[in-house]
Amino acid sequence: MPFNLTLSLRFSYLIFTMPTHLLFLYLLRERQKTPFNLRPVAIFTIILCIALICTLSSCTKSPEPLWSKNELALLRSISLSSLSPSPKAFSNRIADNPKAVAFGQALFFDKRLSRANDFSCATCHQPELQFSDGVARGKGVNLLARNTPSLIGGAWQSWFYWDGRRDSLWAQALIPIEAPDEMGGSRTSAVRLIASDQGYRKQYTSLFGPMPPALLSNDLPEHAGEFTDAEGKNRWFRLSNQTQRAVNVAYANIGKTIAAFERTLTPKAAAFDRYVERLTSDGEEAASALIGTSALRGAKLFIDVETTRCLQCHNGPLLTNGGFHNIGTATIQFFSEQGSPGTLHGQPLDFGRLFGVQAVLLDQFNCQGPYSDAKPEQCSTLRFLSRQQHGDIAGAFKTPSLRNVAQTAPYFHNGRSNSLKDVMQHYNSVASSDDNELIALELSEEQMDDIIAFLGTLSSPTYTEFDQQ
Amino acid sequence: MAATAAKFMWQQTTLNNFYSVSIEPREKKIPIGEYHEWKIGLLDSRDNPVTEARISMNGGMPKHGHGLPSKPKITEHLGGGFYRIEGVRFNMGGPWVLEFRIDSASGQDAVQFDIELAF
Repeated sequence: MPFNLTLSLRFSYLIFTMPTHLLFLYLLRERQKTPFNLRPVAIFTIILCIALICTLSSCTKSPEPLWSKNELALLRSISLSSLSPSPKAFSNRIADNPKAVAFGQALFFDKRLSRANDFSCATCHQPELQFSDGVARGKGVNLLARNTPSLIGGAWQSWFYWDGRRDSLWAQALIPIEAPDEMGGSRTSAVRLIASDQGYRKQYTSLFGPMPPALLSNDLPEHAGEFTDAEGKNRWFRLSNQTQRAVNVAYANIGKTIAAFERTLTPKAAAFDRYVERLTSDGEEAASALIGTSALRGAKLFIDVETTRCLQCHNGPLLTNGGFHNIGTATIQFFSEQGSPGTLHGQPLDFGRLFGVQAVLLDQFNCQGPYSDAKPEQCSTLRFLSRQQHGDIAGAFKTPSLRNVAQTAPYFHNGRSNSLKDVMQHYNSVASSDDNELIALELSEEQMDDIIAFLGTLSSPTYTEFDQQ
Repeated sequence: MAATAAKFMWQQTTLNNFYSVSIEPREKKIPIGEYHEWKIGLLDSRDNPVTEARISMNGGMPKHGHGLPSKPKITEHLGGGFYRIEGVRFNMGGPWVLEFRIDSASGQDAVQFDIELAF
């Protein structure tokens, strides 16, 4: 409402109420002369004034606000200001130790952990791509089956891998090092690297104490490990239980330092977070300069559960519920599109969480295993692990965070979608069936574009301090 | 004890009327995405607290076609027919269902609660 109009309204209010005021003053004067009950007149005058003020204030009210109270609460719930400190990593006692962070950072970028000195963790988790790799499926020594996830915000996650087959960052970090298709190294070669590199050995000793003699001995095979190629496995199973255990302790410690580094990769504020902050402090008009109109419409759609249902799985400040859901990306229907119905042409059928549940229970590096620093009762994710074998976990994959989503294409567990538009079209056209949890959305092209514009406001600056490593 | 249970947020009689079941989360505001505790109170058909029941819990979102994201456990009898439930975790707002199967000297019975969660 322009200032002048407000002023003129206030002026007309004064003129309008003047007779009432005069009447009131007159009656007061009369009362001094003769006893007279003033109360009904006074009450009438007060009511009249209140009614007038209410009428006038509704005239001066600003236009309908963009966000309802409920929408504002939802916007705040997905903005970074709602992010609580990362949960304590009970299974890793050095998770927040700065010395471990520095050691873990060095290991994360060290190609000597791979068999041919050609891959490090950062080969696939590239800082400039928000610690993802920009290709549909990861590629180490060989092409892998699944898309490489971003590591940003990993400290808040309970499960790792698309199927959740590991329950901590450190248990996850142990897999690629010796997987033959990934870095192709082994746990004994990793331990030997720490033992032989003077700097590493010093860092290791200051965190975990001296390495036992068995690990410093030349008898320790160069390439042996439980999940390596056949040659490495053969050597591993010939080692004594005692040596295996000593290697596993040191190997777990290597994972724990890498995890300490990965825990520092916290999400940075994006345009959307600044918008919500400004909205709270200075109101809609001031905040609107921080975000485009299409993105604003997209944000409104995103939090509209009835229309888009996005929030069901992408909720909270990391825009993930940390759960596993079947969204029809691994069904027979998908195969009938790709090849002949009923055959397994194309990519292998991926059962996702169905096998992930079994794998994490068998993992000796899990939270309740001998290499964990947690008390068994501190391992909530394992204690309350849902083991039901119902259809809802077959073909279910972990909900990824949408933070930086525009910077981390391709999408879905197998990278089947190259663009966010393609992703939106999947949600719009998926066939509802018993095979998945989705009901196809009915979004227009414009609505999809608006949601994609909103997703673009979740992009944040990359971690540039690691680019030169 | 019946008076205490009556203050619980949800109360219902089991299918065969063997038990009156009351449930309540530990915190009034039910968190999304966090493990948290609930309490369950059991009375038999004569309003006596049931102190030695075996209770199992299940649930999910039938409308969305998925179960509970965790497997909660009834970990402790707190006295007076009240039991502690640990490991409850919801991962979204919307219509949830919590089911309890109860077995004691009073018989086997089951009850289902509909709970609408806000985001």
